[in-house]
Amino acid sequence: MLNQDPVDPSLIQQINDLMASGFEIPPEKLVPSAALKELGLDSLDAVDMLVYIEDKFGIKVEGEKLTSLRTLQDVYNLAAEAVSKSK
Amino acid sequence: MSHHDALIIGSGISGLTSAALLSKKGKSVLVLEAYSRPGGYMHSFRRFGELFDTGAHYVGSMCPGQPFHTLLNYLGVYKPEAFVPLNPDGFDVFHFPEGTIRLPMGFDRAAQELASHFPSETAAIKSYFDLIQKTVAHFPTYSFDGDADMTRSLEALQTPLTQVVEPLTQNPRLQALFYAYCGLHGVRPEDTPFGLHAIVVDSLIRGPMGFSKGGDDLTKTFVERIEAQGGRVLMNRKVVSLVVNGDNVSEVVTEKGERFTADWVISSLHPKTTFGLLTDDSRLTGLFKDRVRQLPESGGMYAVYARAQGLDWDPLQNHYFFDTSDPKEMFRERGPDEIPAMVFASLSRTSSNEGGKKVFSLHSASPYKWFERWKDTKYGKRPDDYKAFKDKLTARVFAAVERYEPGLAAKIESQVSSSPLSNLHFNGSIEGSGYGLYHSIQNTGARAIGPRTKILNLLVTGQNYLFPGLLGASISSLRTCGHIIGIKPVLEELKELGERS
Ligand SMILES: Cc1cc2nc3c(=O)[nH]c(=O)nc-3n(C[C@H](O)[C@H](O)[C@H](O)COP(=O)(O)OP(=O)(O)OC[C@H]3O[C@@H](n4cnc5c(N)ncnc54)[C@H](O)[C@@H]3O)c2cc1C
Repeated sequence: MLNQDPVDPSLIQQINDLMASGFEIPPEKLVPSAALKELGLDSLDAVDMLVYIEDKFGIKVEGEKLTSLRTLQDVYNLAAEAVSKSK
Repeated sequence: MSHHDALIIGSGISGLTSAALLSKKGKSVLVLEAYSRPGGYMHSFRRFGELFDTGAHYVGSMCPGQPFHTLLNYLGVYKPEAFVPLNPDGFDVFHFPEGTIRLPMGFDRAAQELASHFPSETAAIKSYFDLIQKTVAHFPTYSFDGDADMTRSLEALQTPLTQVVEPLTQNPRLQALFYAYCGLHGVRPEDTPFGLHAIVVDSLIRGPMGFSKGGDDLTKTFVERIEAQGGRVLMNRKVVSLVVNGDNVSEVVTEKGERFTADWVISSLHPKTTFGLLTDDSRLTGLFKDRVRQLPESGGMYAVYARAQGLDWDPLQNHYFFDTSDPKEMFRERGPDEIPAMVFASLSRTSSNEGGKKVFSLHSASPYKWFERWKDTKYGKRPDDYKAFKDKLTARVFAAVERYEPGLAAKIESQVSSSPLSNLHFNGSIEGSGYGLYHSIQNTGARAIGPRTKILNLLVTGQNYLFPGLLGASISSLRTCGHIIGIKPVLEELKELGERS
């Protein structure tokens, strides 16, 4: 993960907005290292996240990658990867 | 108040599959059904002395060793005399303006037959059928292979049918033929997940069967089996609320005010209905609720049930009457004044279909919005303008068929019809849709809702969650019940049984 390109800040912002509005997570908790579990998100929320990200950015996320998501940074990376693939 | 291991809401094939499977595994089950008879869309009914089916016209993969046969056998509800093999030389007959194509049983024969109509497309036809057979192997609840590659099945559910077909052939008529089955689930080819299409085509080509005594007969066998295993199926028990206490549903309440408790609650109702029954939905996120609210429906169906004399149709064939073979036109929504793009004719397979007498139903797409203005009128007491509108729709359905079967209308002895409002009345499906929610790539695979929910002991099952159709709704219950009894051992047992058959 360390050698990955930094994620576009506007993408991060949009995902954070989703976390705050869609999942009612206090914005101060939205740090990249935050574990999804600690944020109260489970595998069902991951599906909603996938649907939201796909529709919002008009991209396809590989569904089976959902199970490997651990932290918020993983979500940013997954979205960034899907966005760059769709370009 | 009685307590069960599992309460199952709805007695359609998915609810019955769940109940039969769980009771087979020693769980105590109770099925609660709103209507006065069990079966959901599998139910049969009589009009002018003839037996008709609502949603059990034909099913696939029903030969020994094939998935649906194996599953029903495993559940103890397979009775050979209940099913009748369709015509192996052509079980589905596709009528297009340019000519008629009969689809025979078996991939080799089907490929040969199509090649005789499209000689320059032999390679495309072969690739298409190869892809279908390869794809279905990746679905664990269809191949019964617990180690199936889910990456591949999810991918197949993300890929639109058009994206597979267009690179294979540029011939619009062959494309139209490959898209013809989209009429069965009402999802346009550009939205249809290839994985869903592959299962439909694979199952029908390999083992097409009709119901010799109607869908009711299978329902009856299911109920007997469930009862023999200690379960119960209660009718006239419309569930009106799911009482949420903490993380779980603590009570299921019926319209009559009865209250039931269970370790697990399985709902076979549409997500809009299921989540709407919760007394407290604060465990659902806003995002999830928005998703459910916005789910589109698969569209309604207008059906004419008829008896004709002097009609030369083989009871062991279905007919698809298309008004066009333009793949862009064939699933465009048409208005009530236009001829329907497709009419599906299913013949009764009961012994009553003898000699020149033919009993059959004709189905065509008809959106709920055409009927919405009569939604507050009562079944059996609908006003004259509703009846007049139905007469108009019946006439257009006959007109579509008459193009290929001149003089049909004159041969009709008796007929009645049903609209999405009839389905709403009998089944409670949202907008009276025949196949539940719109099973596009947007609502399937990794994006599908269920079978688990945020309410820990509430699971969902049925055509809204995996695939539409009797087979789809039934296998969805394998996944659902897998969360209670573990899916791996069930798949292993199914696999073994299939190999022995
Ligand atoms: C016209 C038509 C033709 C079709 N043709 C075919 C075909 O040829 N082959 C095929 O494989 N499939 C066909 N289908 C599709 C197939 O019938 C369905 O996919 C399948 O039967 C759905 O099963 P299910 O268990 O998911 O839902 P359903 O059968 O809809 O069962 C849901 C049950 O829940 C009950 N219910 C609703 N609300 C409540 C409540 N509040 N409390 C308690 N109970 C409630 C309903 O009364 C119903 O019995 C057809 C469908 C239609 C409509």
